[in-house]
Amino acid sequence: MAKKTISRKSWIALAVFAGAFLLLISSTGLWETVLSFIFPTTRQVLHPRGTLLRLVGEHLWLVFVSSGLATIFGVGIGIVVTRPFGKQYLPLATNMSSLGQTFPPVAVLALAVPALGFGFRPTVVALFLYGILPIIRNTIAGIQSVSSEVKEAAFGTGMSQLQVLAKIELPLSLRVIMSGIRISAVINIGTATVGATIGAGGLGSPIIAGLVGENPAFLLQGAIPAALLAFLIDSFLGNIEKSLSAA
Amino acid sequence: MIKLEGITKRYDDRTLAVDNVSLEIPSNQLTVLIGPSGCGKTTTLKMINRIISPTSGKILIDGRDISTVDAKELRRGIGYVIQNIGLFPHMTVRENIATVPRLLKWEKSRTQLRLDQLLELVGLEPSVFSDKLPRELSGGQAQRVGVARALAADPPIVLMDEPFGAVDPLTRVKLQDEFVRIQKELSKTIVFVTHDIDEAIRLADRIGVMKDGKVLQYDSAEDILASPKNKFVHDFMGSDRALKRLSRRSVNEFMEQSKPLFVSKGWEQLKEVKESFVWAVDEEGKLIGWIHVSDFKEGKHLSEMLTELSDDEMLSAESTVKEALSRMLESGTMALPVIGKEKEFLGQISMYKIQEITRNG
Ligand SMILES: Nc1ncnc2c1ncn2[C@@H]1O[C@H](COP(=O)(O)OP(=O)(O)OP(=O)(O)O)[C@@H](O)[C@H]1O
Ligand SMILES: [Mg+2]
Repeated sequence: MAKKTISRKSWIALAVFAGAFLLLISSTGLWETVLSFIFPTTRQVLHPRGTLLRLVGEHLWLVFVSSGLATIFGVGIGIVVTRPFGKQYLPLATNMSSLGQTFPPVAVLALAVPALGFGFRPTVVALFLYGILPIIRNTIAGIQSVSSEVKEAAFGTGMSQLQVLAKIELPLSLRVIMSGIRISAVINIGTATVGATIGAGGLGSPIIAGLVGENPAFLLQGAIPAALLAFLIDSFLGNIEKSLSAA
Repeated sequence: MIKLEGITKRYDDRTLAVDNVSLEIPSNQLTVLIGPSGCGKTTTLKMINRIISPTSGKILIDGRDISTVDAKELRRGIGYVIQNIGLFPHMTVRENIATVPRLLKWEKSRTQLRLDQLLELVGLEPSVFSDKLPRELSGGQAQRVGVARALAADPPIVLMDEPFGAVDPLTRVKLQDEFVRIQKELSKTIVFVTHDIDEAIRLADRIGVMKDGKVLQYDSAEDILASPKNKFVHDFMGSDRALKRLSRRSVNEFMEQSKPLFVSKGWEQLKEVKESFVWAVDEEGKLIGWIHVSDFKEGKHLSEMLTELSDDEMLSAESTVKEALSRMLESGTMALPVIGKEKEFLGQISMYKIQEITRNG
């Protein structure tokens, strides 16, 4: 396969950053001290729902499940609509994936609650629906960017439809697809905070509580780890993306 | 043999790309399809490996209707070099060439052996090029890889769509010469598409001239040059048609025997000479020059009358008649001697003979 273009350095930098992040979110004492210092008048500076570690864990699980499902289905749909038999759905998929992005996440949640009730599941569904769109879009774009000559040459060697997909189209569009997954996951980390409004937990809990109870300490407790987490996941997936053979 | 029977292709947008074409493409020969851009060459070629299916008509390979054969099976037995090469950009040279052997599930060691063999065949040093990616190759190198990929599993049939299109004229001639050598060695059934008439004449056994989806004339290269059927073919062959014909003929075929003089031996040999001059050789039979018979004076040694010849004034037996003519015009002579590999004298070719060829075909 092609030469790897990514340096070990970026992986090491990422590992260091992840370690620092883990240390930060497990240092409950540190948060308490610093937040009490910044907001001396606030009586309770730590959110009562659970430790920061647990909130991050909940948050990641939400994102992992929804983005994982979005990846499986998004890539699947992208592949199907670019096959000869799924061609008629290509315009639909393309339009949906650009239109869907203009839909606010809160609206998606609001629609999901009556159908699925409160909690984890409707949030996952909302995040899934929201996160699948960039993945579909990039999968289609990636597969369509494979030149017709290359595909023709592949068929000319006697490859089957499936072999052309597996050996030519997917490897050549992997990077673009991966970039769609990254965009989707990062969007979902932010959007997942909204899930707290319907009781899904995660880093949204302190943020919502902070907003409702006018407690800026809570707000920071949710917002800072969420921002760092988004950055961490973005770098992680970005590194994977770069390490995929550039064609 | 590949047989096209009344093949017509009308694309979905009603473009009539190929119009009732019937051809018999003989095995182990190189057949060129030539014609102006858009005349349907590529379309015709792609119907042979079922990349495109004909609107009507059928194609038989060795008597078997290809529409009854599994497309994948069919294609694995037909090498294909597409217009613009189409190397797989994410695979190395080695992986590109190994595509069909892998599909055929060859053993690793066999594929490996074949790869080195092929790279050498197309003139690419395996240790240098094996692991390069297509984007790291020059146009000419990429085309060699394209040809190697098509030949990888040793298919009996190879389809080539302007395989040497994207390189400079000098490199193109080099690739063509190498390709002639390869074809001599392998004797594949090759269908070769080009719009370059010189390329066609250099490579083809048979030529099909196409225009607007029809094959106007299908004949051996010599016959097409000698007797173009209509004005289009005539014009397409160019105004130097006669010279092109000479470029297809080798000196070998038209060499006249003549008895050389041994310079080391006595002047008595001159008595048998009927022409005004005679070619002269040394004791080993190697050509050294020529002697004017009228220069002869009794008692004079032959070597004193010898006019020596430079290498430019001798032809090898493989030279084309066109080359012979060009050399004659250059040196202002009416005849040139033909020599073998060891410079041994074989015979001569004369201007008179060349005129006879062009007159009679
Ligand atoms: N997929 C297609 N759909 C519609 N028309 C096509 C298609 N492919 C080719 N054509 C048309 O069919 C005709 C023959 O095309 P083809 O590619 O066979 O020409 P060609 O002789 O190979 O030309 P060139 O020398 O430029 O490669 C052209 O008029 C072209 O525009
Ligand atoms: Mg063409």
